[in-house]
Amino acid sequence: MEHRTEFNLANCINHWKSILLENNNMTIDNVTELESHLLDEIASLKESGLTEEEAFLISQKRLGSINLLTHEFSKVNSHAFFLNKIIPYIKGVLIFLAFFQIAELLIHAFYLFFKPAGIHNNSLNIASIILLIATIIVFFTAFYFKYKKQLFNFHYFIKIPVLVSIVVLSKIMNMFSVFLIVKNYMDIKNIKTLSYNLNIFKLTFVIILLIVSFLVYYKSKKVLKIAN
Amino acid sequence: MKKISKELIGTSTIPIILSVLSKKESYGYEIIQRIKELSNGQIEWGEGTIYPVLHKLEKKGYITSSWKTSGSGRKRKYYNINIKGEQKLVSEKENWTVIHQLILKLWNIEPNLI
Repeated sequence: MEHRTEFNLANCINHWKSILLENNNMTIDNVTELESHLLDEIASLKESGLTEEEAFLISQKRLGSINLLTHEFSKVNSHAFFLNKIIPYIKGVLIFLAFFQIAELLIHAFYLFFKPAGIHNNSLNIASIILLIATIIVFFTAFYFKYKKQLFNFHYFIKIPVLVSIVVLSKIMNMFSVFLIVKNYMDIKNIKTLSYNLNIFKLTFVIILLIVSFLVYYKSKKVLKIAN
Repeated sequence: MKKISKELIGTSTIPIILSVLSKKESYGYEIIQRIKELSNGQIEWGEGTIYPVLHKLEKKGYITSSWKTSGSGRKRKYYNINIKGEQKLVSEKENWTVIHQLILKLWNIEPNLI
């Protein structure tokens, strides 16, 4: 005999809400209002003798399909739709900028920390390259675990005000660190080498990003083809 | 029972909602139940589609809304008609009366058109 898992109304409603919110056409306020309607309908159907599961399914049907709802709400929510669509792009650009600024800051901090220890310039150069490569690996690994394995929660870090603050602060600290290096060591040659390394790093990062983009694009096309 | 066409329901949604709200403040689910009851189930909406219409009416300044918590602790968004909405309802009533009278006259003169 087939074993049926027990119906959980709260889970089903949460799942239904998450699908509605994914469509970008609705605000949280809209979904809360629809949820309130759904709960009223479920309560009324349960009073007339239906089980919780039956009441949920019928209420959902009466409220309208996800496609119908998102289509109808898109007519009045064009403003929210635009904002919901554009925010991920802005966040993407800000993460990109923040990452470069942080990498640059790491190199400058590394230099300011180890230069007084009297480490040879060549060693500093090689160490800075290793540090940059490690930064790329950390970035892509964190990204992979976040989206593939859903391990980390960057929710608070990827808010636009936080990202903007990171970009601005790290830019100011970078300018200050360059000023310190020039003032303390008059080491234009090493700054040029560091800057050269950073440019190579940026180029490598962009190339990796382009390769990842192409891989994701072709994989998504393949998956969609199978789905159709 | 024969259902009324979607097009006709769509055209009449605004005056119907404003009329329901002119009696008392209400929320989406209650408005739909009221309409179902008054039309003996002949008018049936994809229930969720009432909300974009309510939001459109709110944007146009005909109604206002506020969240309230019911006795059972559930949050509901209540809608209230305002003066601009009342004026809109008056003009809608005039328009619908004109159409209604025209149709009655046509059908009285030429009953075979029915």
